[in-house]
Amino acid sequence: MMKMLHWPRYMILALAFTLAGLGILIRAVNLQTNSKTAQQLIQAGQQRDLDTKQVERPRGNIYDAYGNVLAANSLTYEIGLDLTKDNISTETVAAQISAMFGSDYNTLLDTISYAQANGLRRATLKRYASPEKMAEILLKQQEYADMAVNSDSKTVRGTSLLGVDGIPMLARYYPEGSLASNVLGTFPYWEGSSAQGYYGVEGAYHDLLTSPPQQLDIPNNPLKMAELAELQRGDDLILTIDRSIQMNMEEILDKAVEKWDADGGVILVMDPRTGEMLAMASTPRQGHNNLSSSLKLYDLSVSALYEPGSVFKVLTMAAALDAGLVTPDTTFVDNGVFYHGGYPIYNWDRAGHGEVSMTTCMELSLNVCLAHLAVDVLKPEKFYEYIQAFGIGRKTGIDLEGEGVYPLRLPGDENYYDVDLATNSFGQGVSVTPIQMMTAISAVANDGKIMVPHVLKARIHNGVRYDTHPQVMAQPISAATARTLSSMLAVALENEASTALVEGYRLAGKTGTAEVPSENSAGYKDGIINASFVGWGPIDDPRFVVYIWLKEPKEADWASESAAPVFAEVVKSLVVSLRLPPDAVRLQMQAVPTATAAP
Amino acid sequence: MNFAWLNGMNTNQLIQAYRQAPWRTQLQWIGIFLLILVLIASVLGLFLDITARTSTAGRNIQLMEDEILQYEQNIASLTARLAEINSSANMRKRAEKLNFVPVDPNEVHFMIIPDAQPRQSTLDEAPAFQPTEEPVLLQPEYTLSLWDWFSQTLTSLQNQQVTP
Repeated sequence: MMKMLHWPRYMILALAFTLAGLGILIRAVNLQTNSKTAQQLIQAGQQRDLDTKQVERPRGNIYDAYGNVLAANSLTYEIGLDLTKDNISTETVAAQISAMFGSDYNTLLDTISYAQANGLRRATLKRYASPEKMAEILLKQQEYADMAVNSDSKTVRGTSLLGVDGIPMLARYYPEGSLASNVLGTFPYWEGSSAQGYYGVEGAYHDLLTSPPQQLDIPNNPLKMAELAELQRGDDLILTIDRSIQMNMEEILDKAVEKWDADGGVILVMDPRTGEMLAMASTPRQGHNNLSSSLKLYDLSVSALYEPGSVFKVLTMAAALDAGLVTPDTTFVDNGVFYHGGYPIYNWDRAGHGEVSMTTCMELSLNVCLAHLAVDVLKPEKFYEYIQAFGIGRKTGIDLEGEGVYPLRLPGDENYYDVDLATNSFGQGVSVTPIQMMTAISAVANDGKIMVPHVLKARIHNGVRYDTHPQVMAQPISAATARTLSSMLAVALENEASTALVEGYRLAGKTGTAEVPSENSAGYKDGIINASFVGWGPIDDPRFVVYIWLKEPKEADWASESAAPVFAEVVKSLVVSLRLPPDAVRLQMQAVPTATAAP
Repeated sequence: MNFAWLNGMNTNQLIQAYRQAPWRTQLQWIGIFLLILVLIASVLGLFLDITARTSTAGRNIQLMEDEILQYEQNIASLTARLAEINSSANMRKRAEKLNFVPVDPNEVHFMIIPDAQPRQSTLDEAPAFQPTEEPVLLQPEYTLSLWDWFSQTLTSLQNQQVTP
């Protein structure tokens, strides 16, 4: 009877347990099948399990070829106000920060009010403050604290810099100032995590250098510490640029630009055997922090297009020699004018020079002679075949951001005229960048091989050094042609007793005085020139190729009087920096294989 | 054997003769309970010890990672400071102060020095780091289960005994 009385209770209890079990089962099935809810729950779980933290690793340093720092990171502070502190004095903080940094007092007050109104824990007042400023703030903070302790006045006690703190953060820093700024480019660190390197090395190698601030999920569970992702710091880059050569080149260039009242200029120094750029001076130089939108030409040496003039004759002569159509002694009768495409071509002096050899053609820089070579000897097919083989009309591929290029106009193109063949032979009607021109001519200094120009010597990734290996871009001419032309140009310099010569060193070179195309109309500007010079040496074992461009010098009529002496000055400086003894000493040294010259 | 004395006893008396005293039974139960309690406490204590040590190690790692970041920032800053001191402009000023003048190439005398080393970069001389193996972040003791730890310890003890 008793048992009968209790069974409904048991049944109810059993039913309750069954229902609870069923509920759990339904929920479990629901969670497995309804991924949205499951995701929400997983997220909620992770939020409890993880702390989010912003971690910033330093951007890679940039060094010159000898380990001198060209770009690094300096410690700065983000000044802020901790709003969780009691008794903060917003007016005092705004007034002091405003006085220290020259910020607007009302803007600072608004920033603090906005942060307070939105329940933020911290208001940012100033970013990238120097350590000196941070120290000044801490000192002021202490002064206020001392004042409050020693004063009976409630007002004095109410004023303080309580809550003002600084979070360390790194800023890009260029210890050499504007030295090589055109090569280095810039990194606008003040843009924070979205900052991107622009121009030069900073732009070209941004992905290697960068280590953007990252949000990391730090597990609260200490057992999961092993799962922490290790953030890589940016790679360090070692450039081929030699700081001392770069500095000397910039000084020489600045002086030349000032002396000849030029609009700008470029001096490039390359090792023709490897394509390593030893110096790339460019004037005007832009500051590292100058990112003005009007700034289109950050580095004239890689982005400025201009008609090079007679330095281009080196390529025309190289083509004719390599094709076996002329020799240095082949003669040409120069009567002072050459007609092609309905236009007359004149020499620079508007004179005829009679029967001349090819060496004399280069020595006197005769337009008529070179036009004859392109039109009558090489013909368009061969001429343009060689010019393209030299890389004209294409980018050199130098590892700097912002390289410019102007397509080479070829017969059959819409904007190609017959006269172009004649004018192209002496560097008019064709646009190149200084780096493009120098790279092409470097073939003559390197046994016919063009090496890819580059500024990156090596990079250091996780402590491991990865070297850049020289690459051959092309071989437009044979080694024999290259040596023959080098000798011709050396003889040409010596015969004219050029101001480019340097005692003790046998050098080859060519001047280039080019007319400047008018922007508004067809034809060229009156009385305005571009002066260039390309040279290399020592010619039996070239260690450097130098390219000089003075942009529209007002005080010079010819490259021989403006750019050529600059070349001599450059070589005098280079031989000391490169520890390159005069030819006689060098040849003596070669007899002693283990000897090294020391100045 | 003489079992005559059994004849005089009934069953209850026999049970009574062999029954433990109640206080003795209680003591035994309490003893067993306490033994189990001690065992559980020991296991829990072991767990607590391991967890505490793991937590401490984990927190230490977090603190050390923060320290690494701080050191990295300081190193970066000091590198920048050193670079500024050694910048070409500053070096030139110092050289001028010491009455050095830029060399005139015409005054340079080159000498042949057998076996002299050419100018080298400090970065060239730096030994290249060769990564070998993954660094151990946590010792195995902190990631082992109690059972694993127990069996490993036993195995190592056995090995120690076997080894003369």
